[in-house]
Amino acid sequence: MDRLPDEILMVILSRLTFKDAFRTSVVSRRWRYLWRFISGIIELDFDQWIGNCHSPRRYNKAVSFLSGVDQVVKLHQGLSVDKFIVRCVHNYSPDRICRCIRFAMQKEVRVFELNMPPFQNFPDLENPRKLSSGVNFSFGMFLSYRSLS
Amino acid sequence: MASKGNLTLKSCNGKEFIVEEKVAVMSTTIKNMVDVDDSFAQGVIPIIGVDGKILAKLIEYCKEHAEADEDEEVKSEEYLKKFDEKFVDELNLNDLYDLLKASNYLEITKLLNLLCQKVASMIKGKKPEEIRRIFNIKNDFTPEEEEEINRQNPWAF
Repeated sequence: MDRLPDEILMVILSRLTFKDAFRTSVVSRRWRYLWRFISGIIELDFDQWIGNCHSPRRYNKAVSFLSGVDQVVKLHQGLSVDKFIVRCVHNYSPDRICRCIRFAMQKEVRVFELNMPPFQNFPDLENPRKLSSGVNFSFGMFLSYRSLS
Repeated sequence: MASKGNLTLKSCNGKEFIVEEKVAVMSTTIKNMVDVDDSFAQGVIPIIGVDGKILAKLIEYCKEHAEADEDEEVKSEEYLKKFDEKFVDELNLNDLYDLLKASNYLEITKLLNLLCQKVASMIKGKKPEEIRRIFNIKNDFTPEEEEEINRQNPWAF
């Protein structure tokens, strides 16, 4: 495997679910940051990551999962991403929603889905400076974008 | 010298293969060479860094696919799918890596995709230690580093 150039390893990672791809970061030093350049689908689905967990620990896990979402948004370095999907039925802070939207715009995603619980506190979108330009927003349980670019 | 419509490919260890042009130009790299410089079409095309064994495999793959592209009735999609499966299943790890590198260099996109898919299927759902074992990767993290990564990403592991 050491003989393969990074560009091939990245194509391989892009063919995995994001969960499988991210987990390769502990394989060895060389693999540690490869996930950051994935250009395919970044799907962060809470239920899929933790499995079916209804224990009281679910809340803690959701908190930790959302900080994971922050990490991905902060550390990803590839120029573009095809699909960006975040699903977690747990309150997002308005800042976090803004970060996700900004990420989706920067990476010129083709499909963006941000799935959040009802009664969510939304960012103050009356103030467009928070988001940079040109996003048409609609609220609801689901927030789905298509063709942002 | 190859006759008209054929090209001669030479591996890095000196093995020569005469192949039909339609087979050779499945490789975008070779296609560009032939398009740009006529002398390649007449003479021998050196395939740098690819040995005879791997070049023979590449030609085997390209031959099947070039023929299928030409006449769908002779080689159906079903037939090609089976051929692809058998082709990747018979590879050992070393050949798999060599073919990945060669198909990347020669820009044989279909084959590169097939091989990447194969490796991805070997990683899918596996734990890090299983991935290391399958691909013979040395864990060069210190225990402290490994712990730190796990601590930073409790949501992932």
